[in-house]
This record gives sequence, C-alpha cells and structure tokens, in this order.
Amino acid sequence: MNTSSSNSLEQSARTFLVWLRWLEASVAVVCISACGALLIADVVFRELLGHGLPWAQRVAVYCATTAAMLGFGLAIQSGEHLRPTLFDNVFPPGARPAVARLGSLLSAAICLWLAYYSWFFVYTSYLSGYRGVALDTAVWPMQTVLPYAFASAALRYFIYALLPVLTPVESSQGGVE
Amino acid sequence: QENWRIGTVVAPPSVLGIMVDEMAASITKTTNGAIKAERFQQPNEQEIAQNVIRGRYEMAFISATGLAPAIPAMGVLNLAYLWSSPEERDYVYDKYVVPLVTDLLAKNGLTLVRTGDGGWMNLFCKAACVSPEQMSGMKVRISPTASDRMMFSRLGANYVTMTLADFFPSLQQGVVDAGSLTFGFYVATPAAAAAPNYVFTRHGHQPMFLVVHTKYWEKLTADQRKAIEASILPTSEIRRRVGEEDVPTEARLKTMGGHAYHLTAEQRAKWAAVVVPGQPEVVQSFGPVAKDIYDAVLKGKEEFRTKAK
Amino acid sequence: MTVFLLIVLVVVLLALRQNVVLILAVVAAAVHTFFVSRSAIEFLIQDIWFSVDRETLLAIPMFILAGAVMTRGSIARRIIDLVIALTRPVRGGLGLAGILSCGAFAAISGSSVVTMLAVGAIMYPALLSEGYDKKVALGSMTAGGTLGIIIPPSIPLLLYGMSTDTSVVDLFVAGVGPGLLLIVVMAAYVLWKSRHLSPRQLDLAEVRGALRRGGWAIMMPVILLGGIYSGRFTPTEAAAVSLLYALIVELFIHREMNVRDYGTVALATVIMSGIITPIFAFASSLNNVIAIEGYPQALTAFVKQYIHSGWGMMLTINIILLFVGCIMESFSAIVIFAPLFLPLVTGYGFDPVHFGIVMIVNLEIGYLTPPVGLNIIVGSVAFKEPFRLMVSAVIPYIALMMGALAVISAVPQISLWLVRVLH
Ligand code: NA
Ligand code: NA
Repeated sequence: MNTSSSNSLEQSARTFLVWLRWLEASVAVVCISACGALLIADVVFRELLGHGLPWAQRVAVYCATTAAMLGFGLAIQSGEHLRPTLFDNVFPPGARPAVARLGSLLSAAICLWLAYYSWFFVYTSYLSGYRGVALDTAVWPMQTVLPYAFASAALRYFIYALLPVLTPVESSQGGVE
Repeated sequence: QENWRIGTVVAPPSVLGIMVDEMAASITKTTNGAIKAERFQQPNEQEIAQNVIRGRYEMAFISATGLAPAIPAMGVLNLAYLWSSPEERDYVYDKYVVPLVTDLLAKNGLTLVRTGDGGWMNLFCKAACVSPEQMSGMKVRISPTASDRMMFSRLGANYVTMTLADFFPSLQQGVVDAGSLTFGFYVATPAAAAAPNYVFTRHGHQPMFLVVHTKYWEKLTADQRKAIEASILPTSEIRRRVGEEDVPTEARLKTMGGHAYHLTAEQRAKWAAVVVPGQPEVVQSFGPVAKDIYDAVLKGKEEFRTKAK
Repeated sequence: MTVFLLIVLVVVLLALRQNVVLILAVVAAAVHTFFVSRSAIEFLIQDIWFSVDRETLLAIPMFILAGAVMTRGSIARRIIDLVIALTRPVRGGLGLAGILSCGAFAAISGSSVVTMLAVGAIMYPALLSEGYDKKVALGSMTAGGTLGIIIPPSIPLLLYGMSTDTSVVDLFVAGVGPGLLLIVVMAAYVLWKSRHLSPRQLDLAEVRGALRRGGWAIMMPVILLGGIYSGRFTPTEAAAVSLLYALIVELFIHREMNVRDYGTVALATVIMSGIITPIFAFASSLNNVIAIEGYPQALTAFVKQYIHSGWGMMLTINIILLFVGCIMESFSAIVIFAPLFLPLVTGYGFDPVHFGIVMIVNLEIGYLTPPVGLNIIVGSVAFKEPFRLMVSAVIPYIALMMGALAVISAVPQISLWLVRVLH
C-alpha cells in the first residue's frame, strides 16, 4: 500500500467516523430528550388535561434504550469504556502497538458476533409477532437498535484495527491511572 | 433423570405459590423421579412467557396477561366485565374457552396441562368507590393494557400508568387515589394502608395456565403424560382454594383497619353497564382469534343464562 | 476445570486490552453455551433486552442528565456556595451535609444509584473545592447513595416483600432505624476524617449573598421534594421534572448555558448510559443463568444440611450474601435468594421483616463491592474517577457498614421497634 492511497483511505475513514458520530449523537440526544419530555407530558396530561398518557413511560423506555445503545458505540469513539489496564505491561513495549491492533480486531469480532445474534433475536421476535403491553405495535422495530449498535461498534473497531492512528485516546476513568 | 423448571411469578406462602409447589411435587412423584419438577420464580411474566415458548423453561404457570405480549389474543381473557359471576365464568371456560385456548397455545408451541385461576382484580380507593359515578375524575393507577384503558376512560377516571415501585409511595402521597390489584396481593402491600377501601368490583378476571413447551412434552411417554395430567391439582380444586382465600384475607384487612365492600348484583351491573359497550372495540385490537374467543364467550354466556332459567 | 478455563479466557481477554463490557459479554456467552442446559446465545440477547426494557430504570439517565445540566450551568455552583457558607462554622460541616443530603434524598428515592447521582452531582465537586480528601469525598457520596435502598421508599425492599409475601409497609417502617444508624456511622466517619479542616467564622454577608444568588437554584430541592410529598408527581417523574426545571432556570434565567451546551451535556449523558447499561445488562444475564441452573437452591440445601444454630445460620447467610453482593446486582439477588433463605432463618425464630432488613443492608454493601458494584461502576463514570480509586475510596465505608450490619443482625429491635410502635 503506498503512502498516498493509505492517506486517502485514512482521510475517508476519519470523515466517515465524524459523520457516524454526528448521526448517532443526534439521534441519541433527541431520544434522551424525548424520554424526559414524555415523562413530563404524562404529568401535564394527568394534572391538567383529565388523564395520563398510558403509553408515555413505555415509549420513554424505548427512547432511553435507544439512546443507551447508541451511547455504547459513541463511548467507543470517545475512548470512555471501562477497561482494566492490569496486564497492559505484560508485552514488551515494541509489541504493544501490534497487541493493541489485535485487540481492536478482537473487539470488532466480538461486536460483530453480538450483532449477528441480536439480529437473529430481532428476527425471531418479528416472526413471532411479539408485541408490547402499552403500545399496540410489534416490538421488533425497537429491538433493531441492538444489532445496529453492535454492528456500528464492530465497524468502529475494525477501522481502528485497520488504521490504528484513528484509535481514540482512552479517557482517564477507564482505569488508566 | 431430568430437571424441569416451572417458571412463575408466584411463591409460597401465597395460595398460588403453594399450589405450584404441589404441582411440581406431583409431577416428580408420578414420573418416579424421571422428571424432577421445581418451581422457578421470576419477577417478569413477559420474560417467563418468552422463556417457555423458546424452550428455555420446560413449563410455566403463567397468567393471560403474561402471555398476551407473545400471544395477543390471550388479552381477551382479561377483558373488563367479561363475566357476570364465577359460576358463569367457570361454565363458559370449561365448555368453550379452554378448547380454544388449548389450540391457541398449541400454535405457539405450548401444551396446556391445566387451566388455573389467579382470582379477580378488584378496585380499591382512598374513599369508598362503590358506584361507577364516583370514579369520574378520580386519579387511578391502571396497568397499560387495552382493557384497562378502555374501562377507566369509559368511567371518566383520570387514569395514570406507573410501575409498582412508584405506585405505593404515589398512593400514600396522593399522586393517585385508587388502583386495582388482586385481594391477597393488595393486603400484603402498602396499598392496604394508603387506600383502605377494597371494593369487590370483580372487573377483571386473571386466568392462570400451567403449560409445557410442547417439544419436551412429546419426549415423555404416553403413560407419563397421562399420569401427570391425572395427578396435577384439578381446575375445580384450584378455583375452590383461590375463592376461599378471600375470607381470611378480609379478616386480615379488618385487623389493619381497612374495609372490604361486597357489591350486590345490581350494584355490579351498574359498573358493567358502563364498561361492557367498550368491549368489542378492544377485542378488535387483539385480532381475529380474539374475536373467535369473544364470540364463543358470548355464546356460552347466553347458553348459561337460558340454562339458569 | 471449567472455572479454570473461564479464568484463562478472562486473562487472555484482559491481555488483549478488551473492555469490561466485552469481557462480560464473552464470559456470559461462554456460560450460556457450555455450562447451561437448554440455553444458547439467543437467550443472552433476550436477557439483555429484558434487563434494560424496564420502566424502573428510567430515573437513572434522567437524574444523570439533570445533574449534568446543573453542573454545566450554575445551579450546582450556587447551591454549593450556600451550603458552604452555612456549614463553614462546623468542622467537617460540608461532609456532614453530604451524608445528610443522601439521607434526605433517600427518603424520596428508592434507588441507590439515583440517590448517589442526584446528591453527588452537586456535593462531590463542592467537597473537593473545600479541600476534603478525595477518597473521603468520593466514598461518602458513593456509600451515602446506598442509603437510598434502606431508607423508605426502597425498590429492593419492595421486591423482598413481593417475593416473600412480607408486608411492604412493615419493611419500609423497619428500614428507618437501620437507615438512621447508617447515617450516624457514615457521618461520624466523615467528621472524624475531616477533623483537620479548620472551621471558620459564620459570615452572614456571605450567607445572604449566597441566598440571593441561589434563589432559583435553592428552589430545586424544594420543587423536587415538595412535588413528591404533595402528590404532584412520582419519584420517577421527579427526575424528569428536575431536568425540566434545571433547563428552564439555566437557559432562561441564569443564562449561563445555551442550547448547544445542552447538546453537549446530553451527549455526555448518553455516553454514560452507553457505558453503564450494557455492563448492567450482561451482568443481569449471568445472574439469570446462575439462578436458572439452580446454584442458589443447591447452596441453600448445603447450608441447611451443615448449619444447626440460629446465629450460625444468620452468620453464614450474611457471609454468603456478602459474596453474592460482589457478583450479583441487587434486584436479582433479592428475587432469587430472599425466598430461599427466609425459611432457613424463620425456622430459628427470626422475624421475616428483620431478615429483610438484614438482606437489604447486606446488598447495600454489594453496591460498593467489585466487580459488580453498581454504585462504584456508575460513580466511576459519572464522577469521572478511575475505577480503582472508587474501590479504594469505599473500603473504609464497607468496613463501617459491615460493622453496622453485624449490629443490625444481632439487635432485631433496631429494625422492629418502630414497626411495633406503629402496630
Ligand atoms: Na429510599
Ligand atoms: Na457488588
């Protein structure tokens, strides 16, 4: 791989990650805000408009779950997941970059595999017509956030394995003292 | 030897919990220990339903409400004011409902071993609420099911949904002034102190079902299956024990300073008159199978009425 | 052998720099696949879905977000200024205020994590700014949060009551005495650890200034507690109401924050949820498997066979529960162990209400013990402190709480006196 094509690949990957983050962050922020708005709406309807909104808390839960699962991928990109650093020094310094790369690849594989089984879970949920209690609709569309989140996480890790320079710096709370 | 788990929310010393333990013991005994059955308690019925349908649990003792998310038509059995009396209910169940439910469960990979009875859902309030007009504008905690929404909107109540964890402090602080729970559960919770008027509205009935994941059931020999079916508590016995539980429960409520109100047939008919016209629309939302069950129920009720005359 | 293989797997994953959540996922998947009858990865995913799909969890992200808004804006600073001004004359006054705030908030919240987050968002930075030892401050918020489940209302006490058919009213009432005992113990420790901080003269001008600047901010706890106690909203809704109030005050009155800032703190909140939620979900699945496989029942049968005295039983169960608290999340632990252990102790004449309190205090400690300690996991993320620091900060509090637990176990009257008075 020559330098210029690797640079252009790195540039596209960087751009892609920025867009991915922007997109997921926007949806997640809207969801977490909607969660609060729904809980407030339930209070307002009950106190002022005659009756509560029986579906409000349920939808709020879906919003919170969507936000949290998108947050899973966003936390990867900001390097904030909790990671024990216990064994970081077992490899000689020269081997550490390669180990980190291998680690990213392994994380990608784990996430991809979780994505596959989540997709399978959602698919059986779709086939069985599983429905929520408060909403007269199927639950599977809400569950699709699971495979999506794991797939998006896998993609990020794969990019970090391919282009380690893009790997985020871990924030201090991850156990890196 | 195999271990079988009976997933359920109930546990002793409640009457239902005791009966599930008896069922487990009789399965173990009649199979001479080939199947070692055990009650496995879990707090979320929807999860139990998924686990038995997907074959993670071998059996479940579960309510229609718990099954409804997986099998929407089951919701029709919780319909408010579906029944006029326990006798009518039992007659129609045995003749019409049980065969239809057996088919419905079979389509979802479950074999119905025994129809049980979880008792009536009744209303309780801070101030006595014996007639439907008193519910107008009252803040009442409902479960978010289609039937509850229909019933309490027709009563003109200010209905609210919240978790059980939020419900009890909310009842104490006055966020809500009423709710509905089965009698035994009500008396064991802070609800009995916060809203001491328990009214036997009998608006909802909660059937329970002992089901087996069909694949595991079919692995048993025909003799084993017969023996299990014969040995487990009969439906009539389950109904009797659940029904008789109201007497000691009422005594317990009295010692706590609460009061139970028994409605006359006329009083209860006034509630039903408000709620029953809303039934068809809810049935519609549960799909065509629910409609079949509902029509069979109506037919059975009519039959019971003519027979009684 | 199988346990050995699992440990090797974890070590390899650690060496390959995997995150906690992915290690948990792999371990859970391995357990589902190899050690459990009638299970599969499919059920791992089903477990994680059901563990997050619960209304009871809604208050947590809401209180994190409200706390973040108050800290990014100026409500937090204004309240802190007032509390500092008021507690200045007392040696260790602010530390005391921190514990008491946890106790007060615990009276409206039934959750340990929520109590820690709601109080800690404001008090933790305040304690640091006033020169308190970092570990003492962090520990007091993290351990103080656990008061949320012993002082009524309490979600775990409710679950205990529901799964053992014990009166939830009696349980709630019985939580008051032990809750007060724990407050006294924790407060005494904080005061002792801050004995080197010199008290200062009460400055009335400072108090007046802080009161004037803090007007809208001070209304926050008033609205929160007032709203719940006057029956306007539920504890879960209170989280959303406090968020709305904080936003209105910060955006339109203090104007030290704009909509873009809100986006930033909301994103930070989402990321925190994204760290905490999957860990909680995979841990729940492991708990589920442990229960379904009947290990708790086997353990119970074992204990029953070898222990033949009441106090021996109480001691054994306490030790088991302390271990259980390390690896299980409290909701699962209660639903699984309460019905199993209760008959063992009632046989020796222990009161079910007293035992419920013993269990809850025990699991309170479980919120602080690694690896599965929700307060230290969430606290590490929310307070932006390393997990190891969290663990070392709570150690003295764990020791104190174990002492209190011993007293609460041995003296049933601490739990039961108020129940008897009210009967
Ligand atoms: Na509390
Ligand atoms: Na723990």
